[in-house]
Amino acid sequence: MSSVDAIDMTKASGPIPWRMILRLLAGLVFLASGIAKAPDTTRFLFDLQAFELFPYPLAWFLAHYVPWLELLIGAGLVLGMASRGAALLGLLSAIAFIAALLLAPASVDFGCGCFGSWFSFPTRKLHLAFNALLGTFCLLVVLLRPRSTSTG
Amino acid sequence: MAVTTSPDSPATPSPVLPPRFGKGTLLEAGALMIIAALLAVVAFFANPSSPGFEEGRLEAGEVTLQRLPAAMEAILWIDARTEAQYEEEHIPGAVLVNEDDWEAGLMRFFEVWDPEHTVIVYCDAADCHSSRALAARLERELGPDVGTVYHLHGGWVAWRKTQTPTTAP
Repeated sequence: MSSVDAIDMTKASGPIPWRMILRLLAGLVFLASGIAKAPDTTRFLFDLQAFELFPYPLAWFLAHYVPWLELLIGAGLVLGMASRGAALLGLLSAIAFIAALLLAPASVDFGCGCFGSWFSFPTRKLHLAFNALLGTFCLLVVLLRPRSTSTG
Repeated sequence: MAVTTSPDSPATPSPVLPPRFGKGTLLEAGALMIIAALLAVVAFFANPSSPGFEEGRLEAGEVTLQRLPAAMEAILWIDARTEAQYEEEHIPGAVLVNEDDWEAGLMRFFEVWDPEHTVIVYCDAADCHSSRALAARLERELGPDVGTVYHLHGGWVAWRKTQTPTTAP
């Protein structure tokens, strides 16, 4: 192994398949989020309006679109299909979630509707930290090289 | 085992690795976005409970059961329906206040109202305008002490779908 390879931390040639672990973790989060929201678009629409950030037509569009996008991101990451594109979308989604949380009025109770009625974060800080972690996982999936061209 | 070479030794050429991020990544992301849009359109038409464009719109002062502005115990519910409907079923703890007997309704309101309460009016259904009108009148006549008076999106019908009603006051 050359020195170039030895210091290339992004080449997943070690014993621990970090990229696969990260994409599975991030993928499961997105899958859960999409599955929780897709059957109850009305609830998610109300949740989006409570953020007071979006004009109604945009909130309506997002309420119908985001759950399916999350499902595809999750499926892509978990199955390892189009995983780099899915991770890029996951990263952008996490950045958007963080921006929405930072910009929403302090009076908004979080309960953000991110996981439908399944789960809500007790504090906004915890929710921000979770999204930052999710975004980091997605970023690493984009940047890390798979162990082979077909897996990872 | 990794073998590091000294800076003076001849450089070993790096193997050709696939790019980490490139056009392919953008194409994958674009394809996923388009497929998601198609799925959303199909789901919208296939699922009868998907909210139509006007159906899901919240007006100023309107709240939903999914996101109430206060904890349930801090809410004073105002029932703006008829007395007969109220007697049949109502939200636990709700006070009957309607245009039929405004003065008596106000008296009942002040018997239970506390400054810490968040006041939410409900009427029969989503297309019922009496809760909106009543909320506006309460705000106008009771002044700033009562604060914002909200009205419930979907009214009694929305509540009935998710809660167990009671006939007790």
